[in-house]
Amino acid sequence: MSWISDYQYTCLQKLALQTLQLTGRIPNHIAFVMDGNRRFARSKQIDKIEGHSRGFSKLADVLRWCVDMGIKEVTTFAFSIENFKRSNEEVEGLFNLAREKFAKLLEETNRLDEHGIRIRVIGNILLLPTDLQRLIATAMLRTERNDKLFLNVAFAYTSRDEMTQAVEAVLKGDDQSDDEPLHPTDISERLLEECLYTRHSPPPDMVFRTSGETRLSDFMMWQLSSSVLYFTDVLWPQITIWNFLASIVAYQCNRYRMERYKRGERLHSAQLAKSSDFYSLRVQKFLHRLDANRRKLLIALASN
Amino acid sequence: MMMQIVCLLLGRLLLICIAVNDLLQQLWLRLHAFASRSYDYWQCDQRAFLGAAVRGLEKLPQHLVLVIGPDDCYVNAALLKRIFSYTHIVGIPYLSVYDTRTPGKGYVDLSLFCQQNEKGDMFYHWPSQQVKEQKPPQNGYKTVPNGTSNGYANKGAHYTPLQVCQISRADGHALIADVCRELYENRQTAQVQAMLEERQALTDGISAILNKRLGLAVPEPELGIVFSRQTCTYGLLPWHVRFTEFHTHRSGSYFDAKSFANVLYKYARCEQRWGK
Repeated sequence: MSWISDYQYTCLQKLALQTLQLTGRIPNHIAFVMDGNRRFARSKQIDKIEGHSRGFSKLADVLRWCVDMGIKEVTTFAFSIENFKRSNEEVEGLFNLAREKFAKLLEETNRLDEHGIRIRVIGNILLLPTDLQRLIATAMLRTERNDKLFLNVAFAYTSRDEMTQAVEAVLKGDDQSDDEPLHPTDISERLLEECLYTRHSPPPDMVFRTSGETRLSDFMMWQLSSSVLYFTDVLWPQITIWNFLASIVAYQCNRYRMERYKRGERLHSAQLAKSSDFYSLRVQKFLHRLDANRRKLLIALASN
Repeated sequence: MMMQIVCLLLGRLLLICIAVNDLLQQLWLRLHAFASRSYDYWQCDQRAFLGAAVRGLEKLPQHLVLVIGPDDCYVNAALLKRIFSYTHIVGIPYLSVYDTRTPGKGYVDLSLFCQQNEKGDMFYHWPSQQVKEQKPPQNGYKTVPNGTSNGYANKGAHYTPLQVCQISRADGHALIADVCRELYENRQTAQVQAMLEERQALTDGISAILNKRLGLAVPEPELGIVFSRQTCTYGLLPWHVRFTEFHTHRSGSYFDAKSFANVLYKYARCEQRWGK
């Protein structure tokens, strides 16, 4: 199964897709919490890992719908740090599935280049087995020049860990550097936001969670302060294009009401950037070093 | 080209249908709210209703948070007082209010009807001492010396005051940045250096400083009710609400004891797996 499916639309689906594209604003960034794979497996009396595998097939369909809808960025919650609490058998099964899918991705990079898809894995990948780290780092480096669709896969991720990582990056930022250190007054929400894993992504416009749960499970808690949260009862492997289109309609209806709040947020962010010297050479050099260090780490992991 | 025109027309039609439906729904909700308010005025021992409703629940949240969206114009002091009394009746000990509106646009200042707590400006007790003194004792809810009522050790009514916290925007992202600044200023100390040796130690350290700054010696919110036309956290405590169950109460619809009991039912039914 490929990362982007060859989904065959019916005429009605094509019409609905085009109608929504033409009439309302399409979200730039959607985040998916793919919940319900195990419940689906239980309901169909199949193995848990088979349930996760069906969930991945559905992700390939969803990515196809997003590409065709014109959505620029998709983030999916694949594996939480909290999921390490599951049985060894299930965790190992999930890692094997990830190994298989990232290996497949590396085989079909031409197809990803054709669609301009860039893969970014967000999370503490050092918690993963070494061979998986290598595959992930290689996939990220191999697709880093693509810029049409950004696919962020949250793997070994929790939002609290991400925020801690951002604080850690600031605290350790001056080590081994001759540049001028940050001033305490440079530290603001704006700077921390730039130290998150999602540094180069806009905040999600909509968060889509399946399986009827109405919590966020420590996913992108920092970034989703102005996102529309869309919860549906359907289990992830069972979602259809109609569920997806319904979420787009919900977003289009809610967008007008959220716009004023979002404008206020943008204004606040701009004022904060100004008052905390965000655009000073000192801060920009710090962020440049952060990017360079992250890339160095990826190269080291890929060549392990 | 023809196809695009058809799609555009269909889209416009769809948007008009949605807008009309939205308007009708809002009118219906207001009408329903008016009728329910009149009904509640003549009726209903809400204490008995809520007492009976929570008796069958497997779990109750310890900490409830109310999120009031910037576009909401129906949540006022009277509604908040009503929700506080429901929360108090069912025995939820902690309640936080995050009102995203500005003072001219509906923001409710809790100090007007709650008693300030000695812990700081954002903490209150409800009911305030004066209200409690005026309140006659009710049948079947005899107060015992330890402050709880007979038969309701953990759930159900009790007369220890509800602890209310008014959360502001500054308690969210900005507070995490403040904590980061504090750690940065002390980064050469042994304590911070020890935190930097392991990610979990730093997480625990940040949690401790955040809770100290917030004055939150209470559990993280387990249940959130969002009063808005859409579900959104509006920047509510990004560090603390990671496992909070959110329920949206559409602006304009009437919130009564039944709505509150419904939210509690939904919360009691959901299973928290904590990653397992």
